Amino acid sequence: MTSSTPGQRAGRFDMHPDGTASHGSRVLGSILLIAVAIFLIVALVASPPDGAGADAMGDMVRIMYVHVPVAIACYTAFMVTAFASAMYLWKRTEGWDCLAAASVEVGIVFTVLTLATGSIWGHTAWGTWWEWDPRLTSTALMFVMYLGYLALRRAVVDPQSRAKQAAVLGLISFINVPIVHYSVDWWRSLHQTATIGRLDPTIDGLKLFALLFGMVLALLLYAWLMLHRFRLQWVETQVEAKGLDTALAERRAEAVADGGVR
Amino acid sequence: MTNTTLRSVISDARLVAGKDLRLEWRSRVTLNQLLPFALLVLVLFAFALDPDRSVLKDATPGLFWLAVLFSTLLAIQRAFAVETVDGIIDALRISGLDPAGIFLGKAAGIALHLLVVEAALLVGVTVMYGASPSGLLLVVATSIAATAGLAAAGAVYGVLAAGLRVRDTLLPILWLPVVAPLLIGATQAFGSAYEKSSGAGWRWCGLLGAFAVLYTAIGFVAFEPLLEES
Amino acid sequence: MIAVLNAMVLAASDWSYVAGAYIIVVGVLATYSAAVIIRGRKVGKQLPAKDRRWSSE
Repeated sequence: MTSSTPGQRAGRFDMHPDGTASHGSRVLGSILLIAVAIFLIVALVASPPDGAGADAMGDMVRIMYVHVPVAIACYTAFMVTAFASAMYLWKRTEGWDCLAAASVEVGIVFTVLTLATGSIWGHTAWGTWWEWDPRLTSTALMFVMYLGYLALRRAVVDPQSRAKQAAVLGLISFINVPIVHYSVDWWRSLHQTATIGRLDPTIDGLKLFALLFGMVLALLLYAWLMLHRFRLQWVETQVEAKGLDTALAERRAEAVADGGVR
Repeated sequence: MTNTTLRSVISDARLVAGKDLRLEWRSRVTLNQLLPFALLVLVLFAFALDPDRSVLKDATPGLFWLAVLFSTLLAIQRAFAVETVDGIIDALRISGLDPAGIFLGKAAGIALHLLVVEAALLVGVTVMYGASPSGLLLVVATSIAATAGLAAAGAVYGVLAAGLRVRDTLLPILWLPVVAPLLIGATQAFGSAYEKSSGAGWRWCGLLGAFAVLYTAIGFVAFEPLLEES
Repeated sequence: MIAVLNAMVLAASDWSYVAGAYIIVVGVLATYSAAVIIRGRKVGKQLPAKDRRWSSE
């Protein structure tokens, strides 16, 4: 996906020799930098505040332009993990395992951002930093669930069993997400219906553009982060395997040397 | 699944559950540790919340199920700790028993332990919190449905964590968020059972049943790869 | 007059929330990206370039 010929390497896209960057990731990264700058101008300056009306959000609507996109990115990340986990269980190749692991970590970063921006928005809407809003609550539970996934990966020593157990957990966790969501939703609907993200359906013009731009940008950012994170995971897996091999070889060499002396 | 494999799964399950229950009968861990722990939690809730009976009475459904949840953690750990000592889990793996049967047996064993704990807790909240249910049928149905879900999910996550050095700390953060829907559902169902209106209670009870069915299905599929690696 | 002042204070506090949200999002993403790239360079040293397919050596 990101192959490059040596000739293209020179000049602006000069890369660190040991890094996870490639020509493709550099190009995408540069485009993203410019796009982020344009997005910030559109979202913060060019687009108008939410108009008059009883529940108009005013300038607070601008938080939605990042909150909704990062939420979409985090759900996408966990969807990719579930898919990669299923593919691992089918194909049993380490690439899929790396993809699942990398996507969880990136997804957790986006989940943190979803929670933070949701909480900030909630503070102006409800006056408290945390309200038991169904979406925020189920996102918080999802956050803990995927932290558990990373904890499991860290706990299992053998690479093969780690990959297999993590793949099963990655799949089950994704099944849990809607269950948790609907039960929390149902639970809260008995009391109130306040929900983040109730955007005016007639939203139009620059506001709609800012929102859609944000969504595309968040997904591209996810893709760019994944390029780097996946390669990092891949290198770590290889180094781990290599470390085992060299340790074994050294042990064997020592044994031979000992035998020679005696 | 054909009829004969289903029958062998059930007989394997009975074998595993029977072994666990015999083990319990000899060691009396549930009787001597799990029950006192559950009742202790009830007392601790009273310390934390005020000895004021009205608060405790109002919070009874939630406190009851929290106590069950904590006890379940211990029951799961116990159920898999007896397998991981001395490499017994290897014996289980090569025993030729159907993994689905082992799953069902483990879950059934945990469920039976939990039902005993719940019966004791029910007496406990009646005596100590002064809360007596009006919809007894709903209480029984909710307990059975929630217990089945807790035990099925517990067996799946229990075998996942079994054999790891950090299993005692890993299991709670893996399992508790998963059963959060059960805590919500069981608490709501008990809430309507204790407040004499059983309308929404049965709906929640249905949700609990659906969760139990789903996690039994997950266990049937997922237990084999997990058992191989534990 | 007081109404105008009130509105100004409200708007200003609105903007501080908005700014806070954007700073957190941009800051966290930038920090995480930098962390991943630096970690990649560190770990990458332990692996010859031929094992890193994206590397154009």
